Amino acid sequence: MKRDSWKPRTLALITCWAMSSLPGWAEPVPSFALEDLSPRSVRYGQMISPEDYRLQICAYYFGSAG
Amino acid sequence: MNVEVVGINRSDQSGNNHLVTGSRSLPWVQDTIDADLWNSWNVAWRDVRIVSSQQKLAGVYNLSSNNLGLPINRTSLKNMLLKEAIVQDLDEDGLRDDWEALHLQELATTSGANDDPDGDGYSNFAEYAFGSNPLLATSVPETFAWSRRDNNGDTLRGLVMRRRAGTTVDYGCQSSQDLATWMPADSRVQWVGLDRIFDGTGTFLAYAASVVEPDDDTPGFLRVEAKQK
Repeated sequence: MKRDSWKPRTLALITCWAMSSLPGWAEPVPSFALEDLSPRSVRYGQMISPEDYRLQICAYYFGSAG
Repeated sequence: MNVEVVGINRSDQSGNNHLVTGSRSLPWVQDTIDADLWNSWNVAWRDVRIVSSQQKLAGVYNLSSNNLGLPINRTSLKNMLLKEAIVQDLDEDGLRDDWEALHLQELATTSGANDDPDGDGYSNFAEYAFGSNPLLATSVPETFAWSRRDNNGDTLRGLVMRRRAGTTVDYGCQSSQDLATWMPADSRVQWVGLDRIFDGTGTFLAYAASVVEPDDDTPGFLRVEAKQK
């Protein structure tokens, strides 16, 4: 009986630890400053940083051009 | 709340950027060995990383695992973005929670919409509505005169200012001929443009203007009133 009762609690702790260990969920994303290379973009030639999009939502697509 | 998209190319693919940028308006940056974004952000190829208005990771959607050619996946990604873009105002004071957390470090338990913590004469609500800093007296709501000739040859004259998108603030133009009596602007005054800006205030540049008749030299003034919805 006792053994059954501690199992869920242990699982909960493991879940919490796993979530908190994921990089980026609790802290601001790592910053950067890179130039927009797209001539058709409204930001062409400007340096882009995550801070530019504060108080907005920004989706970053990590792709490859090749 | 506005949603933007930025593409980040893998550092070993720098020679192929033109394949993406040639036909798309997506802002596109090149990761470098120094920046090393792919490692510091701990991403997988074709991740879409959704970052909240407070700069925190809010969701991950991988496009290799979830083909956007399928409507159900497009809907899933859209819903993730919309969920994050919902404006919250838990204390119902007219100030967005993320704006309060950024500028006032807390929901407004000590500084409400009508307070003026930097003593510049503008309330927190005015600073919120017009995109200035409520803790910096030199940062105040501003409007600027603006004019241009449109494609019909008419001259437009009015003001430009920062404003918020979304549903928390109502903006209304008022007009005056003597700066003493202000009336709701008539139907000739319209919002004629909106420019996206990326200065960390989460606002747009908005243009209000009316057509100036060729022989009309009557002085006219515009101002904008912001009200909590």
